[in-house]
Amino acid sequence: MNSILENYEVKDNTFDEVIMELKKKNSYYHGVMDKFSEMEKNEFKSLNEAAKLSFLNQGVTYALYTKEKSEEQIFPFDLVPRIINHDEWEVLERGVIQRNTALNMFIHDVYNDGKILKDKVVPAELIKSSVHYCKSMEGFSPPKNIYCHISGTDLIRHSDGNYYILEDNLRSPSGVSYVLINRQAMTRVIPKIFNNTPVEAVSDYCEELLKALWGVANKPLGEIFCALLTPGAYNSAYFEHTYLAQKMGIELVEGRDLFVENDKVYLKTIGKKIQVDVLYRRIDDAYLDPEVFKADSMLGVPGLMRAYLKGNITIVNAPGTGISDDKAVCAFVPDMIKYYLDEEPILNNVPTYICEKPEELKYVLENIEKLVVKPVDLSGGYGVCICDQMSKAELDVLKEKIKANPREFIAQPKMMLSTHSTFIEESEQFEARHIDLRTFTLMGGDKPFVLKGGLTRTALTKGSLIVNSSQGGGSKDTWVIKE
Amino acid sequence: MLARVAESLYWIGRNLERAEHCSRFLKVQYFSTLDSPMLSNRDFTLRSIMFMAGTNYQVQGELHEKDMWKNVIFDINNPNTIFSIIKNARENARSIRNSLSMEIWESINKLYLLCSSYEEYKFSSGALFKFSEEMKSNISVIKSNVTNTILQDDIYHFITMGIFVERSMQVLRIVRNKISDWVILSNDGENKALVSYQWTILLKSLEAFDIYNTLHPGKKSRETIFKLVFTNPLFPRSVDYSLSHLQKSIAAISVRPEGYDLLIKNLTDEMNAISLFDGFDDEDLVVQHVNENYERIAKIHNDLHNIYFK
Repeated sequence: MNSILENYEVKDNTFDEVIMELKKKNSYYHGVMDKFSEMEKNEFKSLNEAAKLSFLNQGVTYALYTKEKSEEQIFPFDLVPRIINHDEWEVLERGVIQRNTALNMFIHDVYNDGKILKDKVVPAELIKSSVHYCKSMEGFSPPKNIYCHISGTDLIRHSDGNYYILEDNLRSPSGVSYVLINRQAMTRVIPKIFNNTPVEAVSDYCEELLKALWGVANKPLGEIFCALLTPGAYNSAYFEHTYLAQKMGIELVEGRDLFVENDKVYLKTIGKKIQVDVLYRRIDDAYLDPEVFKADSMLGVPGLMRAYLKGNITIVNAPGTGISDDKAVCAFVPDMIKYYLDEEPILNNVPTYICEKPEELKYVLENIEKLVVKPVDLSGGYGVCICDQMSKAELDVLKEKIKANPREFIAQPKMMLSTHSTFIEESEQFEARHIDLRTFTLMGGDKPFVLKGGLTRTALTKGSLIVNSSQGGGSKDTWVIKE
Repeated sequence: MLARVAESLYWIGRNLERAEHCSRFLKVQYFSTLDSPMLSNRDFTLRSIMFMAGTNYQVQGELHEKDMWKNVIFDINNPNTIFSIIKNARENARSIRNSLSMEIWESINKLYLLCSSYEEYKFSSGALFKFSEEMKSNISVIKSNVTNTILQDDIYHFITMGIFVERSMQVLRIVRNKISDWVILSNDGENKALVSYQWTILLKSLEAFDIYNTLHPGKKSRETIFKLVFTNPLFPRSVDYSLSHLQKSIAAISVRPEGYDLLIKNLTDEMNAISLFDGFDDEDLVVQHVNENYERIAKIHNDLHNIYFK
C-alpha cells in the first residue's frame, strides 16, 4: 500500500477506483501516487494553495445562489487525477456517441413524423406533457437534423465496477471549461506528475466545438459568423461562456446586443450591423425569444425564432431538446437505441421508475426508503431526495408530493457511486470521496467528437453522493490513457 | 465590435484612471498634514479629500479619520469610493473578458482581490501609504498590459479614450479643489506659506512636482503652475496632452459613425479653448475656465456615448 493511503478507508460495497487499480501491477496510478508520496505534507499543501490562487486570480469562479445573496466561489479542485484506461474509455466513447446519435434521431422524429410515439415505444403523453416540448419546432428540421450539438452525459461507476448512465444534459450542458482549466492547473502546478504517463490531450475541445458550429451553418466556410449568447456576467456559468468564446475566437453576446430585421439576426456594433449565422446559446428556451416563449424575458432576442425557423440562423443546441433531457424520458433511451439504430445499448442506464406509470408509482411508494427520488426537470442536484437518509415524516411529505404530481418525479435505486482518493483540507489527509463523470459529445462537424476525459466531479463531504458544484462538490482532472 | 463591448472598454479606462487619481490625491493630501505648514489644519485636509472624492460629508462637527476611510475608500454603497470604482472596473472587464487578453483580465481581477483583502475596521493611517502604493503599482501593471498584450486596435483605443477623458476631468477637479482650498484659506486669513502650499499639493497630486522644479527651478508661481497643468503638450497629465491623445484615439477607431465629424469639431474647439486661454493670473477667470472646460468634456463624453455606445 502506498504510504499516503495507509489510513485510507473504503466503505463496504463501494468501488474505489484508486485501490482497485493499485491492485494491478501495470496501473498508472502507481506512478502518480508515488509522486504524491514523495512530497512533504507542506509541499502538497502549498501546491494545493497555488492551484487555488491560480483559479482565483484567473476568476475561475461560479456564482452560488442562496435566498439571501449570490456569491462568487472557486470550484474546488483536487490535485489527485482520476485515470481511465484506454480500453474502458473506448467503450465509454462508443457508448455516448451511440446514445447521442439515437437521441438526435428521437428529437427529429418527435417534432416531425412521431413514429416512435405512434409505435408506442415511448409514451406520447410523456413527451407532449413535458414542459420542454416546443410546439414551434413541429415540422422543422435543423441543418443535418442535429438538435443536440453539445451533449453532457452523466455517468457513475457502481459497486460492480461498471459504468451506468445517470442522466443526459441536452439543453446547455456546462462544466467543460473546468476540464480545460483543471488540466492547465495540473500542468502548471505539478508538471512532474505527467512524467511517464501518456495522457490524452483535452486542448482540442474548443477547436472541435468551433468545427461543430461551422458544420451546421447555412453558409460556406469562411463566411460564417458565430456568436455565443450568454445571460450575462451574473450567470453561474459566466466564466465558461467567456472562456469558450475567447478560445474559439467568436463574439460573446447578450440578448441586448442582437436584433432581428427581415427575419435575420444582427449584432449591434459600433459600425455596420453584422449578421449572425450560428448562435451557441447558453440560455434556456424559455428566455430565448419573448415573442414565442416568456414574454417578459429580458435575456432573449425578439424575433429569434422567426429567423431560426426561416433557416437564417442556426441555434445550438436547438430549441426543444429538453424533451430528451427530462429524467423520465432518459429511461427510454435504451429503447430508442434499439428502435432507431437496431443495436444493443453499449452503456446501461441506471434503472429508472417513472412515477407517471401507475404500476411503477405503486412500487415507488411502497419501496421509497430504498430509492433516490428526483424531479424530472431540475438539474444541479436540486430536489434530489436520498430516501434512506430521510425521516418518516419527510418521506410522507415526499410521497404526497409524488402522488399529487407523478409526472414530475422519477425514482432510481440508490446506486453507489465509486470513490476516489481526494485531498481533504480539513483533515490534511487523502480520503475516499464519491465521484461521477460528465462526458462531452459534439455533433455537427465531420464526425462525432467526444472530449477525452470529461469532468470528474467529486463530493467533498464524507459519504455524500451529491457531487454537484452548487451543492458543495469539487472536481479533478480526468486522464484518459493513450493507446 | 459590439456597442456594449466598446462602452465597457471605455469605462474600464475611465474607472482605472479615476481610481488612480483618487488614491494618489488621498495619499498626497493626507500626508501633507504631517510634513507641512498645515499641521494644525487636519480637519480642513480631511474635508478637502472628501470634497475631491465627490462624497457627502457632515460640514458641522469634527471629522474622524474612520469617516474618511469609509467615505473615500470602503463604502461599497457609495459609487465614488475607491472600492466601488475598482469593483466597477472589474465588472466592466468581467462582462467582456473574452475581448480582453488574459493578462489584462487577471491584472484587473488581482487589483479587485487586493482591494477586497483590505478591511475597513482594521484600516488606519499606517496602512494608507502601502494601500496607495499598491493601487498605483497594480494600475500601472494593468495599463502596461493594455499597451503590451492586445493589438492596438479598437479595443485598445476605447480603453485609452476612457483613460484620457477621465484624466482631463480629474485634473480639472484637482485644480478646482485646490483653488477652492486656496480661496478658503485666504479668506480665513491663514498664513501665506500654508496658502501657497496648496499649489505644491496640486503639483504633487499630479506627480508633477519634480517636473515643475526642472522647468522653473527655485521659482513658484500660480501662473506657471497652471500653464504646466493646462497647456504643456509634453506633460502627460496636462489637460492639453490628455485631449490631444483622446483625439488620436478617436481618430484611430476603425469606423466613422454618424456624428463623428461633429465630435471631432467639438473636441478641437475644446483643445483650442485650452491652448488659447490667457487668464491664468486671475483666479476667478481660472475657475470659470475650469468649469467651462469640465462641462465641454462632459459633453464630449455624451457625444461618445451617443455615437458609439447607444
